Amino acid sequence: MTALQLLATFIFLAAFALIASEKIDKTRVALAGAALMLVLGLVRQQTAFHGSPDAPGAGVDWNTIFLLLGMMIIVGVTRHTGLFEWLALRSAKAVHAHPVALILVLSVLTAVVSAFLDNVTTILLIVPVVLLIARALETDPVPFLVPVSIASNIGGTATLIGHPPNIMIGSAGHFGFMDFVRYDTPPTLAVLVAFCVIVWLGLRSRLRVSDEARARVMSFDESEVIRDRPLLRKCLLAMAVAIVGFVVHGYLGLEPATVALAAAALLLLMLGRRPRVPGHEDEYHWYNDIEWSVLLFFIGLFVMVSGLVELGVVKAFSRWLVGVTGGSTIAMTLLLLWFSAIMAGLMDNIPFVATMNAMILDLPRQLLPSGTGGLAGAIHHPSIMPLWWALSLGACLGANFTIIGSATNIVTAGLAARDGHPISFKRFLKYGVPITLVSIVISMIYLWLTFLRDLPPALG
Amino acid sequence: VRAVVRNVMNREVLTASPDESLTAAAARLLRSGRTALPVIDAAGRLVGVLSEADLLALAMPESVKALEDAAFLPPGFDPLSLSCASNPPPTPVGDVMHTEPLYAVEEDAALAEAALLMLRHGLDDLPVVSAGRLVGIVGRRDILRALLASAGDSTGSAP
Repeated sequence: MTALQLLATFIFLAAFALIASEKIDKTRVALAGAALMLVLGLVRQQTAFHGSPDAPGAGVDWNTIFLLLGMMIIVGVTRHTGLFEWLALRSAKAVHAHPVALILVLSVLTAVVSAFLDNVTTILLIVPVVLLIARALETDPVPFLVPVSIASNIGGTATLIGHPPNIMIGSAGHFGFMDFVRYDTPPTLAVLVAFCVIVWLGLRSRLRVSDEARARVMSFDESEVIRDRPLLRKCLLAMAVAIVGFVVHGYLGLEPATVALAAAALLLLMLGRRPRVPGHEDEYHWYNDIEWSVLLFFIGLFVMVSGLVELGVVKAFSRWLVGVTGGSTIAMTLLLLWFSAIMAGLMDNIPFVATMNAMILDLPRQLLPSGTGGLAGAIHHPSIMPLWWALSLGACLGANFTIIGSATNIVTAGLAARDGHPISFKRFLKYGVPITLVSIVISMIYLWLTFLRDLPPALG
Repeated sequence: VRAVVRNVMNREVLTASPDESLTAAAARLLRSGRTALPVIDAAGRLVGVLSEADLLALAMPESVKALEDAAFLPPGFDPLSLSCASNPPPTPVGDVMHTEPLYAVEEDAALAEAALLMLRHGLDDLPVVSAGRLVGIVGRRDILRALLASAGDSTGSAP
């Protein structure tokens, strides 16, 4: 390694460690690391901001930024309609507040909502309702909260827009919404079924509540929750436009980010100049709900990864991977699946996915004769294809290993602790480890059946 | 009348000490007729404020605070309580009083300074200090009364 490569690697790993330590806000770390790389000349600004044809994986991925931005705008408005609280209360009453059924129905609801909208927002809206339901049932809320949080991460795995790692993988790997429906939704459904079985087996004989307490939950009046029906109709229309747009974007020749931005712009236009939000009548703009710090975090990371790409660090890493696995797609896929799952369980999975994306983009140069089917042909080559999905399944599902593995789990634990019900690291593991191990084993079987068993012997 | 806080504030002010129990201080707050009870140390220095809003927030579980609207809760189910799990009694005032930022005005401050603090931070009553020591309390009503009086003066003096 050259001195410059070592310096860039050091900056990146130091940022990685600081982000994992959660001592300093991760956005500041990412922006400082990006600034440092630019100031020291480790990456040219042109490459860092706009990419470069000879550095695949470098550049700020504006697809990811605008897709996140569009979905943030839509969910930021929709969260004020009461739709999520209404759904949670309706499903609780549909199962007559029977505790285990309640946990399962709230988990499945959270998984489905998380597949289409930001997981953290979903959790921020569902968890208070879950806490109040548990309070009305006079029971410990933790067996309700942990499965709901885990289900949010599972649900987010299913689609392109469900989880930021998938947005990044979709953009880097040129996969559309329907590619994720085809390759990520089936294993996610299998994992969700396994999750329900594990939760049911684990909790069915442990939760007992009185009929009186159940009657209390049944008396919650969900019709009071929808505060602004015209606003809800506009949000549902924008979401419908977005989802139809995602389904057909490939046929229309539009990128997913374009669809999200168009749906968000449509919603903002429908809202008019001064939106009315209960409790926020003054000085309120819809843009307040956009998580700018998350977008800046992504931009900072993309700049840092650009440095690693331009200096050839990523190439050295992909050469190393090809070396230790002998270039075997099966070995690389399984290694990537488990490695991503463990990394995701230990820290925020975004920096890891940003790096792995760049590495997978470099692999065709190591493995395939040059000029194989152009860029799209090379990164979708049978020897490369399973790696994308191993990364997606590992990084999304592995986040459930520990309470710090995903923002969703951290937010749930924070709300629960402030409500007087702390969830210890150890208590979370009792749910997280079995569910995640089963998830990853299901992913292995799925990857084997879908990609690996049909590989030509030369590639295996 | 010079429009400074000293001229409109109330010098008879009930206070709390950081070590006393929350319930005793809360009862005094209600008796005071003000919305906030200044908390002072043995030397008479202002160290915090215990307001009605602080007490309501304390009684409210995080699950309710996180809601956009609690209209769906049925009449028989009320999660508000001054002794919830995260706050078992007896709690000393010092644990729950508002300290950072500690909003107060100097006794020679302009009424506009006090009024702006009240509007911007949703405060009804502000402790008044002089060199760090509590000397009084001023409320929205005190300021309005002064404004009304001076408006009366000017209309009265018109020919």
